[in-house]
Amino acid sequence: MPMQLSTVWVAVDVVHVQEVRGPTPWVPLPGAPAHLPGVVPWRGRAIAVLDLGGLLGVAPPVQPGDARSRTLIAVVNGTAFAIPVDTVREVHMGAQIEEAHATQVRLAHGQVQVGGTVMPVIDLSHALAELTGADGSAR
Amino acid sequence: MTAPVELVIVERGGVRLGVPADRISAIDDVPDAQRAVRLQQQLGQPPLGEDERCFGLRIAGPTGESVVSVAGRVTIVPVPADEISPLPELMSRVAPVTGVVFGDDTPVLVLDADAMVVMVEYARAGR
Repeated sequence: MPMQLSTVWVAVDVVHVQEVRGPTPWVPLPGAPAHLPGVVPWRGRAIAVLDLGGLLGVAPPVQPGDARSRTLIAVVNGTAFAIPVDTVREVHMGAQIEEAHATQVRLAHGQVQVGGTVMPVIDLSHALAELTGADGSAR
Repeated sequence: MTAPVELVIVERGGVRLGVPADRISAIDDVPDAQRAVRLQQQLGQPPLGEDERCFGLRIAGPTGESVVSVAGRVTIVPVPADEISPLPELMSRVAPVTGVVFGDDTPVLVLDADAMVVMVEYARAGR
């Protein structure tokens, strides 16, 4: 599923995507990690906000009073989180993930071409592992 | 709806902090000498204004009673227990916040009383 973070397009495996919402205000938590700055309610519980644009270094940090136009709810390895994004495009089934990297975006494990735009495919499992320190680089 | 939990809510600057009332033995005025270290400062809020009233939440712990200074409007509000959403495990290290009450213009950050005491004592000791 392609999505835009500021001016940069990236794609994520749709298998992780549970829901696409409109602008969703989130609650900032004092002392939270920079890329997990707050929480939103989802299905009766609190889930973490993942600042994917900030984590990848392609967008300014998300701000609590400035909800982005879409919020992706993703579940990775049983962990749900909300990803504020600027735009989401329709799902492209069967898109070929090429091994070559068109960009130097972190946490990409390949690239796809959608509507003439080449974009990195972000490995959300890897992102989660990095944020939880499961890959040995706790943040 | 589950049985309500009483929360002592401290509201200041658009942020509401909630502490389970059963952990607070008293709420007192705070003498000037103790106004320096406040809970909200530790949580990133602006320093205390001179005209702001300051309260002490007396919290009983295993090593005795501690006083945590707060500023703002203090109320006691019953909240259904199932409206307190615990933080996801991913954020379990964000002490002293343990949960959030959504569903209002200003959500409530629910704090763990013991973690709150540790945070304030640590700051008071200048560490």
